[in-house]
Amino acid sequence: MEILKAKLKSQVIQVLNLKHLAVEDIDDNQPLFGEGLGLDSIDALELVVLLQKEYNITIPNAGEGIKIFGSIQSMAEYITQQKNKV
Amino acid sequence: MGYQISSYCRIYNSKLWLNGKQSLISNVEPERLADKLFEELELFYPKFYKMDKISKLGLVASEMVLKGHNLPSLDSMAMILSNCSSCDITDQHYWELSKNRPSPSVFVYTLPNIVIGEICIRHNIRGETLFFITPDFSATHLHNQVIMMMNYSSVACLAGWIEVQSENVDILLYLVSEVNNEKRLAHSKKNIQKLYELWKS
Repeated sequence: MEILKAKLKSQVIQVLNLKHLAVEDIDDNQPLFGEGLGLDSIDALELVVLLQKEYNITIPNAGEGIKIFGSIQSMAEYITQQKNKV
Repeated sequence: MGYQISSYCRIYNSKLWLNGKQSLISNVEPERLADKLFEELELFYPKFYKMDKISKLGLVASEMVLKGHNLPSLDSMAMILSNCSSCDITDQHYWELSKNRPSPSVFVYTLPNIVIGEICIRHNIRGETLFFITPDFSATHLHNQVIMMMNYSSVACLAGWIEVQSENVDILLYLVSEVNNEKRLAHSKKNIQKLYELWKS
């Protein structure tokens, strides 16, 4: 899980062009949206594409996205859970 | 009512003119020009890195033009920009990306007037805006549109030409306001053309 979280942080920085941040600047439980990293709705779409492209995971219910993309921790847990289903 | 050009910024590839002073932006690839200028301005604005090349260059040019100006009312500050290639460079970038992984954050920049929106957000400008796609730079067209906007309801207008291609950058951005200093350039077709032709000097 720790390796996955580090990889996710790196991918989030790269995909969302967060050039002012380094991997170590992002806490596992830091909110990605709002007061946390301050991501917006377009960033949310980029994260959906990231999960599809890099992890072959689709999010069937848009309502789940708020929970899944809450933090790096929640994203990593969701990816692990989906991989274990296969 | 007379109008003046309160400040201007002219960028032609690696050459920069800012209110009469010329400088060379050295050791920079065309692709890195906007980032280099952004770094030199020492701004903290993380959203900059998400923008396309046109918006990045428009934003740094606007920073230079508006710096130090006490703008009277942002509700009645207008913006008129034009170019001849629309956002072709971003459209092509999106097209290339979409062959592998469509990018929503690139897609949102596939409209030429997005640069106006980014400048408005950055400076909290809330007046009327227009973006024209014209065959060539036209001082007459820009002048006439600005006069119309100023006579209509605006107290100031940020105007100019922002033509950005992969290898070439051709930008003239200037601030027009009512005359308050006789030493400033008059807002005239001749002076706009003169500023545009600075690249020849």
